[in-house]
Amino acid sequence: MTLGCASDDEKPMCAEQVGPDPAHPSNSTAALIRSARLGDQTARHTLLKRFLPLLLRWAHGRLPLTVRDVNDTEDFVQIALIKALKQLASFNSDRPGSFLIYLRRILLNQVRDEVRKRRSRPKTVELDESIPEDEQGATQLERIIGGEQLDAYQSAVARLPKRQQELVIMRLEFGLSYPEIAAEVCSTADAVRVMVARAVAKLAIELDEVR
Amino acid sequence: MSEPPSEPQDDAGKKPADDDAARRERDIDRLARCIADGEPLAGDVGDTGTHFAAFVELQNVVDGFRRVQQRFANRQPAKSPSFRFGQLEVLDKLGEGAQAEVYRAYDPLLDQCFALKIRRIEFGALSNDFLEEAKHLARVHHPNVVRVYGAANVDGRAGLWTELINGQSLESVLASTPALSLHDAIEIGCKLCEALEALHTRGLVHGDIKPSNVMLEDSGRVVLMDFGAAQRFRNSTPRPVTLGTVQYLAPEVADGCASSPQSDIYSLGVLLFKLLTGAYPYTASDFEGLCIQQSTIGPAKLASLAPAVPSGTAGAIDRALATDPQRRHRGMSAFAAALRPHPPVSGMLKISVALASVCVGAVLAGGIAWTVRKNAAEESDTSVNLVRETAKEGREALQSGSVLNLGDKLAVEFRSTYPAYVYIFGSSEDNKATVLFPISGAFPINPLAPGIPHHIPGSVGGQLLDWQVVTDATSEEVVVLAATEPQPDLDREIAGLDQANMDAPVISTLPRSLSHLAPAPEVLTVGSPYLREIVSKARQSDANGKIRVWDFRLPHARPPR
Repeated sequence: MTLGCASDDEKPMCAEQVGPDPAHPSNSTAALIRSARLGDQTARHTLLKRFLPLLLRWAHGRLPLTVRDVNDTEDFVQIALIKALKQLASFNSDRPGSFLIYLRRILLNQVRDEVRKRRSRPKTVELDESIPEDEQGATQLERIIGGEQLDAYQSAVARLPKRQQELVIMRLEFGLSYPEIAAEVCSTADAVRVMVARAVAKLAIELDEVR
Repeated sequence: MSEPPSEPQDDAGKKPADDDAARRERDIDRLARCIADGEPLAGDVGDTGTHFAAFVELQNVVDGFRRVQQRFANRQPAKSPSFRFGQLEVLDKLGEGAQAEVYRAYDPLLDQCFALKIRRIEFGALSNDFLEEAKHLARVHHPNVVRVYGAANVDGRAGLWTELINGQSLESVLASTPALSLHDAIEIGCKLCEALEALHTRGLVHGDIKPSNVMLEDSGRVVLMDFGAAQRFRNSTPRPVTLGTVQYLAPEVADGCASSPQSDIYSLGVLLFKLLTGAYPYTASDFEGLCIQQSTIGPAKLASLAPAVPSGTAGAIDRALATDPQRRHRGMSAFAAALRPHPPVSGMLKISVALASVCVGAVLAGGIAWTVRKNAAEESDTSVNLVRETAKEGREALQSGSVLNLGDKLAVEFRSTYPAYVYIFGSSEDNKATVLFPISGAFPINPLAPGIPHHIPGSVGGQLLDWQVVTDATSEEVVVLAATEPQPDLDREIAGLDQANMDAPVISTLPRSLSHLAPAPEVLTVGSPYLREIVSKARQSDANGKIRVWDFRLPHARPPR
């Protein structure tokens, strides 16, 4: 399998975060997953290093406001990622680009559990006094975007074909650049740009449907 | 066998319906690319039918994702440090000037990123001056003054680190927009007055007020930066004029006098002149020419370049630009008070302004029945409710005749089946109209997306805003106009009016629900002559009769005797 990063004019912004050059075939996510499944601890560690910063950034605004300590968030995401890497056998898609979405789904479920847990927790002295009482269980994203809009967006994304879901999530939610996405999905940056725009157009139409 | 008659085609042989479909496809594609590329949706919404609302909503969601990521980036170093400065890990360069470089730096102990300003090595001899800046700043605690966190001399290089502001400088804003709206310019001016007042009361002057030293944070906060030219004005000696920026230099400073609070007033006057007109009060661009013009012809009058600016505001800026320092405002608070077209409220009421969000500055006239211009074809396609937020009962729908109390928080719940261009004005029997919506910097913006409820005046940074009644006059009148098409005449009208004054927003946690309008009388009777004029103008430009108008007249509760 070859990975391409066709356009030189937009360098990957998160190169350090993603670990060794993912454009190199032996470092591709798919290759690392195959090695990790065979017990290669280095490959497992590389995957961890590659995806932890992305997931950490993604999870940052999705945890309840009461989980504001960076260390708390990092622990939460790291544990989720380590668990996911231990269960690589359950990840059975060989389609490039889908691993990040698989991790996001796992993390999203854990975040939802955490949000549910915090919302149902009786009010105690642990509450952060700087946050209004009725927002102790809210997340930063819910405060900024609004819970209803966020739900509508999630529902619309779920209605997209798998490939478009992946593109939309990588671009809009994870903030990956086109070359970074191209490296993940084995395509070129220019092609990815077109594909993402099409996926966004479809997403807007689906958003209209679910509202 | 004869062929069936073909459908009508245009000159190019294509079906008009196909053209429409192709145009819609192109518009959808263009909006999708805007969102995918992280650019704002273009002003021309094109023909995307009902999908435009979805794009607006989607952009709101994506903006939320980006803002959260940006906040996270400020807390966590995104890349390996390039070098260390004391305990700070220096990450990347944010900018540089003649004497210093500014970096983003991470403090692992505090788990925070800062803006680190490091004096260039060739200016090492001036390190003491540089570190003075930190001392000056450390004395000032004000939300509109950049906050300093530390200073040090490391390996012969002086550095100071301050909070990291996410946003853009006024200089960047002016590079893309020749002039700001009246509301934005006044808001920025008043905030800078407050910041400078805080400085002056501590015996400091800024000495280098210019657009590149004013940051507009993404949250809307105005932050005064770069105190490199700051000094104590009592017993201070003049500095070389090269420390300032020529166009912003007060005449007496150009003559060799030390900076003073009066020279800060002058520089702020130049800045506001620039914000409102896109030009400087003097045309000369070099120091010599400027000195000559300052001593001979005097500054241009603001009204001559921006006639739409209210005379009070224009006069306040002209006064700040007086050549004689003694003829300028007595202080920054006096300047701020003169800038606002209407003096706001009494001291007691200011407290309620600070606690609330957007003030209904105007006081409105009394009336009895609320009326609506009926349009049978569109009767059920638009829902407008004026509501009062109450802690006990949630939202209470108001009708004309409903009694208002001082401190009441009001909002409009709006919903339509079409992308709506909404304008809301308030007025009184005595005062000019005030623009209550649209509000600069707030979301949503026109056109409002169809099919979803909108809380107006909207929100800033995810925080819902309300209008608050802060004056104890006899009554208020609110007029809501909704149109299916852009209203350039109304947009122009807004430019010349006062806008609702935005202070600290409050988060509304009240349920979002809408009810439809009650049946309404068919005749519109707007009470305020100012509002009547606005409505009349809007109707004159509304050839197709697509503007709908709602009028609410609300008496104030009589104060207890």
